[in-house]
Amino acid sequence: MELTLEHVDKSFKQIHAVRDVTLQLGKGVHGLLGANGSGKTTLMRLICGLIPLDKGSLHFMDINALKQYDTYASYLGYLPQHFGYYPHYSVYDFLSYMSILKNMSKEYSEQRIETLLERLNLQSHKHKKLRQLSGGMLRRVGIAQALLNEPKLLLLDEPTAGLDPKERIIFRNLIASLSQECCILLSTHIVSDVETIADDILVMKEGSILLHDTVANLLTYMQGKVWEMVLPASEAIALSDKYCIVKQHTMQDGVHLRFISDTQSYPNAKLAIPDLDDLYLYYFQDGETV
Amino acid sequence: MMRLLKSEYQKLGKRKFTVVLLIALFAYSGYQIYQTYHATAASEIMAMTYETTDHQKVANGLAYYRYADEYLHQYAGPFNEDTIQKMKEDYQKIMKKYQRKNIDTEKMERIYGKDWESFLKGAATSKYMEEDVRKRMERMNIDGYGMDDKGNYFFNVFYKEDPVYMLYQRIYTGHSQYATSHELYGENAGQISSEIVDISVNQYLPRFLKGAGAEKELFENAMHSGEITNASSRIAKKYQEELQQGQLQYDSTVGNHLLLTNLNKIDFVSLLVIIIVLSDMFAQETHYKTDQILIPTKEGAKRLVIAKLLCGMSLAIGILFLQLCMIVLAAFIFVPLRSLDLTVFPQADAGYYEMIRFIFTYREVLVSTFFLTLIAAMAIGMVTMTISYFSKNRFATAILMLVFMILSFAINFRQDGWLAYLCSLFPSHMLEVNTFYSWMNGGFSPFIIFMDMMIPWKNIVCVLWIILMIILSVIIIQRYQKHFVKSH
Ligand SMILES: Nc1ncnc2c1ncn2[C@@H]1O[C@H](COP(=O)(O)OP(=O)(O)O)[C@@H](O)[C@H]1O
Ligand SMILES: [Mg+2]
Repeated sequence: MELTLEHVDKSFKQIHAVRDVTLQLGKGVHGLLGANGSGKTTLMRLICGLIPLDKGSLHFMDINALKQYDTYASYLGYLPQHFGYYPHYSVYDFLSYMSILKNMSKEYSEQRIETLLERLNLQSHKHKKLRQLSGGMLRRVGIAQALLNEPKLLLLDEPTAGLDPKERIIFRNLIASLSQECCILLSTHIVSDVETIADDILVMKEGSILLHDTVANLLTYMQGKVWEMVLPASEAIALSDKYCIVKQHTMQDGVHLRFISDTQSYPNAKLAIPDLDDLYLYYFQDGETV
Repeated sequence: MMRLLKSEYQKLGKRKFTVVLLIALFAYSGYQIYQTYHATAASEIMAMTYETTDHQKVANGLAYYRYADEYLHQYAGPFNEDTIQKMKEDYQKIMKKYQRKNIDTEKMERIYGKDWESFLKGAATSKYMEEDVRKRMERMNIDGYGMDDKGNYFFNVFYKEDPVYMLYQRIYTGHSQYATSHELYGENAGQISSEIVDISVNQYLPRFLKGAGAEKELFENAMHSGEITNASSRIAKKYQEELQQGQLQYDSTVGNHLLLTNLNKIDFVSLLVIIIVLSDMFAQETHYKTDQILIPTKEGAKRLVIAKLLCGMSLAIGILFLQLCMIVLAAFIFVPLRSLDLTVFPQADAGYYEMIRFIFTYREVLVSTFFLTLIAAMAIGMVTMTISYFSKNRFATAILMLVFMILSFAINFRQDGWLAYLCSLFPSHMLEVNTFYSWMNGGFSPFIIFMDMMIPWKNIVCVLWIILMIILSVIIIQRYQKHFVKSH
């Protein structure tokens, strides 16, 4: 079970949104991390076949996605970033409509919808119209929709946006339980989303995949680059111009700073244990909005 | 595919507006159909209950049509001089027996007042000015009067014999008229106008019999251009030969003609409903941004597009087919049909279907109407969906289609030359089947002569649309991938 992208390239008029991406993704959860506009959504859409590739090839389990799209699509589950729905459909009607499009048998889809409603805690909203649901509930309907056909390749574009902490936990558990049978690509710009569940992380910037490695390996890479120290408030301002500040917390004894630097630039700075936030900021420190 | 199609229907059905619109349309056409059978004669100024020679009351429009149909049916059979002779004799017998002699003074007083006699006399001999007449009319609720070329006013005069007299006048001649004060008090007092209206028995029937009717009608209709006259004389000859070969049959055409009248009432309103219902067909996925989850599925964009096309087309056909069925059903309920092999020939003031008489059979017109109507429905559905597909916008589609409809009204059959033919291609005009069987003075001819063959223009219209629809659906299905997802 492997998704293979080779030299995938996509441009929109002036914007080169995806640049020569070559990837191999196996079973498990893959976090796609990148600032807004870095090309995550475009890459996902390319993988879904929603927009044509300019160059490159796309295979999943020996299926050429471009040539045998029908077969490929039957393995696919997709939650778009902006999840579109028919407001006048009820949750149940919408899911059964999707199951028809996914060519599932009637009995199977009925049973599958029940299971998913249960797992996503949507049972009580089954007959509510979609327009009456809150943002978090809609996301969950979107996730249910993606999972209907028990996909082998699950693409989730910012699935946690709009979920409250409890919903996030439900979602994480659900994803974790799927990671055994399924190749999941999950995009986000919120680091904490993937930190705990992703097996490996892809860092995307300006259309290219900068890094692709397990969380542990990436963090080793950050080893020795993250520092912590306490400074008087007056000096802290000067520092923030020079270094990438990860955290800043003013307390009685001064400002507690966590920053990234390739070398120990201050004698009283102490090495800290790196986490994904540090990594993310390290790569997106050049003034991009997060 | 069936489930996909069904789910597209459900998608339409979930919009309350669509459902309400469809119900409104069927209520509207139901009312139209009902009206045709229950209309009273246009020439009647005040409501009147007819009475048959055996003293049965004929209380309303429907009862009249039913009676007229039954009555004329007594002459059914081979059509020849004897039939006409018999009809003439029967008619004259009734006219003589129920000649207008006794004025219904009670009704006159009720309508014109106690001094009705002096008022009507005065009005007929220039005693009153318009002012006086109007004042009186307002007071008395009189809703109709006539005026002769000398400025004298005349009014209806009611006779005790009217209920019977006028019933048979209407059945035999297709018209019924009240006597007027003019005939009583005017300059030419004493002349009875009923002879003027004896057109049907005295003129139409013999003409029909000789087969000369066809030619005369055609020439009257097509006097304006040499080419058309050529075509029309050829078609006249063709049908005459057919008529003369077979044994001519006579029967009541009341039910048949009311049916045609109703078919002619199907109009652009149905097409508008189709436009409104289908304008959303390809737009709503873009509008709701559901396209991005519908495409990466097993059924995918291509089958979805096909399902949508099928859904739209079947709905368009279904809407008009249902109306056609309602009309046919109404015919069976109200005034049943006689043989469809009778040639189109209006009798007894039933319906107003204004097409060339004596030439085409009811069957031919009926079949053409079904064809043209259903193809018009498909055409409007297809064009709507094509625009919806390329614009992906409901309102843009509806507006463009409205422009299309308005354009079709802007040019009509009374245009010169090719414009008249162009006009007949518009779906809204295809519903006016009538015009495909008449010669318009502008230059429209229902048949064109090509390599010495006479080809009915309506067939060409149908074929052109079928070809266009095939092309459009192929284009849509072919381009589904490029067009389905719009960037957000
Ligand atoms: N349909 C499109 N047309 C033109 N430009 C686009 C389109 N989709 C995305 N882009 C551009 O491509 C770049 C990548 O966008 P996107 O893939 O949405 O990034 P992300 O999902 O990481 O925020 C952006 O600069 C965006 O403006
Ligand atoms: Mg995005």
